[in-house]
Amino acid sequence: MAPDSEGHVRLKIAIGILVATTTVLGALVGWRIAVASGEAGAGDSRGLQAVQQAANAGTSISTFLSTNLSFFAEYQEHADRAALVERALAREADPQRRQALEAEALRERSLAAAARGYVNADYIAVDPESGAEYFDGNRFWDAQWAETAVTEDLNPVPSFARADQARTRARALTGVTLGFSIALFLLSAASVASPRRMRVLAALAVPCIVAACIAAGLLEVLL
Amino acid sequence: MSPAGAEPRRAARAPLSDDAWKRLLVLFIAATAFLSAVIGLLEVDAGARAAIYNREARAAGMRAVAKNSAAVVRVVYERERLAAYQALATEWLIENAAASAASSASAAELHVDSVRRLATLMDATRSTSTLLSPPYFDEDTYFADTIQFNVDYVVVPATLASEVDAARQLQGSSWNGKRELHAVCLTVIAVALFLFGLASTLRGPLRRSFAVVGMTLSTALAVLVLATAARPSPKMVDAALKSYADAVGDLTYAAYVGPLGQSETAAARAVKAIEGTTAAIDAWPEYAAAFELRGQARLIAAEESALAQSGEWPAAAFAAAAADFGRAIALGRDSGSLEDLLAWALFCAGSAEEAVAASQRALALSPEQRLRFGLRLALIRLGSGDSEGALREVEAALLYAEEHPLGSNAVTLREAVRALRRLAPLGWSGRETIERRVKEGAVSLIHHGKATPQPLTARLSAPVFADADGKARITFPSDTHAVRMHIGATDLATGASLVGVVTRDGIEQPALGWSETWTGSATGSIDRLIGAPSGLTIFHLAHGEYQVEVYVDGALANVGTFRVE
Repeated sequence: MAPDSEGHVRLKIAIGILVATTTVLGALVGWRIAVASGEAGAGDSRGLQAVQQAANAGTSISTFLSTNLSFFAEYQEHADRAALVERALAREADPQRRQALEAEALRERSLAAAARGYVNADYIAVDPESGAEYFDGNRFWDAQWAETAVTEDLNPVPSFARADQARTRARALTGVTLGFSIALFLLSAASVASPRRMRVLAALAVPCIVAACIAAGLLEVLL
Repeated sequence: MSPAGAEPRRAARAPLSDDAWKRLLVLFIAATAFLSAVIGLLEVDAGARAAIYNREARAAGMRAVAKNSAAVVRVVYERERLAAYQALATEWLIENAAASAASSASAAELHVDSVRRLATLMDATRSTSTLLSPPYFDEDTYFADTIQFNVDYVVVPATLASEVDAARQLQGSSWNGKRELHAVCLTVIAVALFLFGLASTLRGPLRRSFAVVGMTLSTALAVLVLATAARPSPKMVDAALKSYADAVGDLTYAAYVGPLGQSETAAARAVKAIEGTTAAIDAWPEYAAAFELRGQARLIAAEESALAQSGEWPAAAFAAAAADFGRAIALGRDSGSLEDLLAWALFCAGSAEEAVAASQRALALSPEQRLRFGLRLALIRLGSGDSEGALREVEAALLYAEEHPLGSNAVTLREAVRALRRLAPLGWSGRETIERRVKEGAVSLIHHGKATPQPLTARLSAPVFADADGKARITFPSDTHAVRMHIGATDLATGASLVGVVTRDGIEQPALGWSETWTGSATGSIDRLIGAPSGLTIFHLAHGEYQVEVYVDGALANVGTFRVE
């Protein structure tokens, strides 16, 4: 093909169009990379907010749990004391001692009742084997956590997973731009090459552009 | 050389045609653009990795704070349970004593009933607490190891969380460094592209020069980018972090019990910490924090060792500690505290000059630690035979503490007093003067906020110790609840501050000390009970050699000693 033949001129025009198209496609992929990066940043922020809310919830719940356990232990100590005194009272015959023991039992029962007032009674359970009362700390924790989770996001994992997915898409799309870069390099080389080489180089560039477009489309759909 | 042979050489040197230059420059531009795409890809990748690590570090930090708060709440609960248990145990002891002393069988029966009830309650209380259960609670001695509980529930988890946080930050900053370098490369590549563009509009040597500079830049950038991408990033080794956190726990325990006089336990735990940090270093040879911790563990193990207690310094152990501190500094972990520890290790290993230099570096790095580092430097100067220099350092450190009151002053001053006491067997000249000055400075700063005590005008007689019946003695039986102390005072001004510092076997007993303002007349007597406030208690004074120091307006006025069998 002669340098100034019609075929050569058409090929040069085609190369120009391909360069322009590749540039536009590259810009489009660049836009998608920016969008994916933005999604990743937003996902990170949401996830970190969830971590902070979970940390706050954990601190609050453990503090309330500890308070409940403390008052329950106090309640239990007074109740146990009262039970022991009442047991002694049942065996006691001396009226004076009975009176003293009755007073002590009443005092302990009153103190037990006062302490129990500060315990969340929903979580006081009875051991089926021993029949003893205990404060179900695990159920308290789970219930409080679930209650907080109704109004606040306490699980950062989904947000972080979405952020990582968007980040993977951004990285892969950046890889796709390499395909466009190779195509542009080949097209640039073709534009200054001899007519014979021009055709070969342009022919090599086209699959690169097509492959990059397919890859970008697949990434957008799959990720 | 024949002219025929010169012809091809000239042909090789022939300049490129304009058209060839144009094509060459287009290719350069295209290749450089491709290189910029590659760098862009690496920059995005490094940025993504940095973002993930930084995010994980922030999340780990927040989780660590929450975990630590929950652990502190737990410790508070457990201590409340311990207090409740001890209250029951005290009642139990009182009822037992009353049962033994009862005048009639029926009266004794009442107390015995009470003892049974209390024993049942004590068992019930133990079931509500982890601290009151093995391994923290010794069922034979009724001793609850609150320090170990604190180490297990607060220190180790918090350290582990903070190390994970730090490791992720390190990884994040490494990737961020790569990302920044790639961003710089992208900027420089724009310059190369500009040069190629400029070359395409020129002719002659200038075109060649621009093209050559552009190519050189692009090639250098390509090499730099490849080297950066190939550079390994720090790897987080979970096993190393875990071993390190456990070692911090062991060393914390050692640091708690050492000042309480439990040197053997402290040395054993410090040795365990050395093993833990060695495991951490084996797993992660670049773990700077582990080197610093191992150095600290070696210091404590050496100081608390039987050899050191007998007045001989194990120099090789101190040299090993100095080597660890040096390695930590070489790995980029320099700080005033680290230089201060290095100074002490070097001094104990026999390198006094290097120790002074390290101590001065510590002061330069952390001038706000003038009290702590200055007192350490004073010890180094004292040990080097420069007692005047040591006194100057002490004065400067105490003056700094007066001008900059800090909450940790009391701890630092007590540590310094303990160190001076421990160094007594070495027989350093001028040690007593320095010890007295530090003691007076400590009392003055803690109680009056002044570094220098008031001149002593009052005259106090030597303390006389007596039992509950008023009988003067120096040695008391093992069941002594409290010791009466009597001191005659003359010229003691009304409003003077009196402070008593009591030590047992060289260990300060803050619970037995006192502080009061003198309200009596100039001539009178100071009468105190060394023991529980009322003296009516079921607890006895522990066996040991007691020393009572009495300070008037910060000045050490008198010292007395007694012994409990």
